[in-house]
Formats: sequence, C-alpha cells, structure tokens
Amino acid sequence: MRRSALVAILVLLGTAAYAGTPGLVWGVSWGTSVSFASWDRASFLTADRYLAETDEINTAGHFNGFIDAYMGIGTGRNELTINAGWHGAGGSARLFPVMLGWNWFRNADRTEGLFIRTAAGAGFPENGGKLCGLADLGLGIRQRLSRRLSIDYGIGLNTSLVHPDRLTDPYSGNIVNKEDIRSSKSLLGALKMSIRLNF
Amino acid sequence: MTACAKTYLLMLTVLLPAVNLYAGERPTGWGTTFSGKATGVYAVIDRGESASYFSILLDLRGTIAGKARNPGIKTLYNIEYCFRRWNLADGAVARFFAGPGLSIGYVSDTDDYRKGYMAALYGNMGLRFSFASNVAIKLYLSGEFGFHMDMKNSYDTSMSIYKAGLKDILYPEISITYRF
Repeated sequence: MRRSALVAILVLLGTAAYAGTPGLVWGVSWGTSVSFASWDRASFLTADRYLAETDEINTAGHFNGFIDAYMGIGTGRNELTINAGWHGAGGSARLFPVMLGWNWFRNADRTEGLFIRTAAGAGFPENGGKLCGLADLGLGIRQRLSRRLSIDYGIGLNTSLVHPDRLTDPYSGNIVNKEDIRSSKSLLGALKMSIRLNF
Repeated sequence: MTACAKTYLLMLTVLLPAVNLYAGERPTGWGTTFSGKATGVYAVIDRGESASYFSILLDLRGTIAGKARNPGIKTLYNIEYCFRRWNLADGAVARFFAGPGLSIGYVSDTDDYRKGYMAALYGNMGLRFSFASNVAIKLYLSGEFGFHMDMKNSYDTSMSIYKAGLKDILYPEISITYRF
C-alpha cells in the first residue's frame, strides 16, 4: 500500500515533468549525515520477564547516507517540493521518507546563490513498523552548470523521530527480542551534507 | 602483512602524489565522492586527457545499512585516461575514462564487519562531464583486487582476497569536482 502510494506519486510527478509544466523543478539529491546525539526512550521485557524502562541521551555518532528525488514548483524566490527516497537514521532505522520541502532564495530568479532549505515529512521504515518523522533545516548554495542544469551544495541539521526495533538490554547486554519491545522511541539529531542536481 | 609492508604501502600511496608535486604539478581542483560503498574527498591534477586523483575515503561497507557502527578508512591514488570525448551544449564536455590505481586502508571484509588492513590494485571506468562553470561531475564504476588482513586478535590474524573490492564493483559512484 505504502509502496503503491509512493510509486503513484512518482508517476504523477514524472508525467508532469515530461509534459513540461511551467515553473516545474525536479532533480535528485544525495549525501551523508552524521548523527551526533539521540534521546532514546524504551520499555521492554527482559529475558527474566521483568519490565524494564530506559531513558537516556546518547552522543555516540553514526554515519549514514541518503538519496532522494524531488519535484515541485518554483516561483519567485520560493521553491515548494515533494521529496521521496531513502534515508538512514541513527544506527538501525532505514526509512523511505516522503517530505514536503520549501526553499527560499536570496536571488529573485533562483538560478544561483544562497538559499535556506527546510523540509519535513514522514518516513516509512524499510522493515515495516511505525511511521517515523523527519525534519531538515539548512543552508545551500546553488551554482548554474548549464542552461538546464544546476547544482546545490547544502549543509544543515536533520531531526528524526524513529522507533528502533533493535534494542540492547543495558542490564544483561543482550539484544531484546522484537516481540518483547513495548515501546521504543528515539529522537535523533544529525548533521547533514548534501549535493543536489536540478534539471 | 608485516609492519614493514604496511609502512611501505602507506608510503607508496602518499609518495605517488608527492611525485606529482615534485614534478611541478599542482592540484587543479578538489572534490567529493559518494556511493553506497565509500564517500570522501580528493585532490585532482587534471591534464585534460588524463587526471591523477588522491582520495581519502570513508569505507561505508555495512555502515549505511546499519550493520556496522563505524566506517573504515582508506586512501586511494589513481590515474584516469580519457578514451573518448564529446562536446556538448553550453561548453560542456563529456569524456569516457578508465584507469588504474592503488588503494590501502583499514576496512571491513568479513560478515561481522571486523576491520583489518587492506591493500589493493584499483581500477575504474565511467563518464566525466566537465562544465564551463568549473564543475565536473563524474559517474563511474570501480573495483579493487587485493588482500585483506582479518585481525580477530593480536594472535589470530589471517589474510585473504579482499572480497568487497570485487563484490561491490556494480555500486554506481558519483563525484563532483570543483576546478580552481
């Protein structure tokens, strides 16, 4: 169902791009993110069948990557886009996000220069599970490569709320069985560096 | 791999770009590369129909998939030769390239993502698009053939073919170079 919806959105956007809709912007972006902090809360049954709860802030980083395609409308200094792709978040969450993005450019024609980029949306976990949330805030610089092609260099912060299904029991050091997890939430902060090609 | 061999290989990947510098060649640009298997930065000496690259890369095997906690690290020196060239619109030029190189690093090659030393011959091929605005975009495939030292502990080490270098050949890679 989720995949069908994602495919339907991409086909619709692809059709619009192919039809050459005025003001239409589209492209691909990729990059890396390094999570620098997470607030993890979980409750689960231990191997001894005791209910245990954890609530801790971790600063252990994790290196991740992401790739997505976007499409939207550009008018004046603003660009409104829908982004969809694949994101890694933290140590175990791998998501298919669908995000709504808004970029605001310093230059009125959006062809070059500095811009502020924001995006927020939902992420569908790769292995099923609960819906996650993602949000981005950052700065970008756009450089024109040719009449039809430009490149954006971006840096920013990413926050995601995920539901990890791989927990370690801090008392025994064992991995908790998935069926013994009662609740699990992790709020992650990450530094995100991206490159985007705009067609 | 003995400490002597490791030192020799490390010196080789550092010395090869040093030879370029000694020969009076200076980096003409820098860039960043990304793929599912590695990401990093590099300096490039671009001579038009050939280019030398010195890269420092994070080996992402297992990291992006969430199976390994920390990435490995490797250095790479490679040369690319242009075999075909097409002039495109707006002053852009496309080139088909391929070339050899040498990579060494501290990366994982086992199912449990344990790190160990690696040394390999490197080869790549792909397309480089150079634009009038000092930016070049490169799409390519690369592979490595060499050896990996699996270090279970200081008493139990074994050496084998570096399997990831061959298995991950079909991972597409993309890099962006900014020319000075």
